[in-house]
Amino acid sequence: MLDGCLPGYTTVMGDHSFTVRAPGHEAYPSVPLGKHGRARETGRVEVEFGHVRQLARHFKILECGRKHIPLIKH
Amino acid sequence: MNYPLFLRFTGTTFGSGFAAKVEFNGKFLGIQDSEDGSWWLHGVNPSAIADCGKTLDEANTHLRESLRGVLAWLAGETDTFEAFEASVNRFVKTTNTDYLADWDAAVSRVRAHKECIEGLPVRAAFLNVDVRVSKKTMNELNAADNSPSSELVTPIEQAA
Repeated sequence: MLDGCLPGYTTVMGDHSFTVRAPGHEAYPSVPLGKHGRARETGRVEVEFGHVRQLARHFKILECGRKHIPLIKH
Repeated sequence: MNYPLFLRFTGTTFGSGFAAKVEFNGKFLGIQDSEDGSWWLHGVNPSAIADCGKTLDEANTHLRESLRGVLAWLAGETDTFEAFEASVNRFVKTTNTDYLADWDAAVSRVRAHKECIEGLPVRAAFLNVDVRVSKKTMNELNAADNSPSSELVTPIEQAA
């Protein structure tokens, strides 16, 4: 979703969450890495839909995001 | 069902050469799942945070821990108290305009129908989003600084 909807974004992994930055926006510093920090072991982040929805609304990419993840509700 | 909520957060954060007391009133949209009764708290101010729980109390606890983490992250990103203060202000005052529209609509609904969430204090909806960041000296620090606090209130009363 971010690849297709948020040009120029970067992510930084923290201990328990990761931060998304994008040009022209305030950073989003609170995306959880998932239970037991599985992302660190697998390199794959599982994010609950509520966090994805908040992220998409923060960066104003909800409509674009739905094309990639149709299950995102309003 | 959507509910408009205020969150009153107080916590202490440590940065480079300083300790800071952070207090803010923020707006959150509480959404209760109609099937399992769980809650999401979506940030309006601040925009860049959300959290969830099986109950509203648990969601508040998770959100409080997430906020503590964000404040620690902001402290790590800044070199001075003044820079930290500015970052916290930006974080809290950045508005999620989509959720603000939902929050305003929910305020109108709960006022019209006198809805409230059992157990939550009721406050006037004209409460402002505000932030206060102040330095704490060594003598002002105590064990309570290890534990931030956060209280949810619901804005149903009309402005005076």
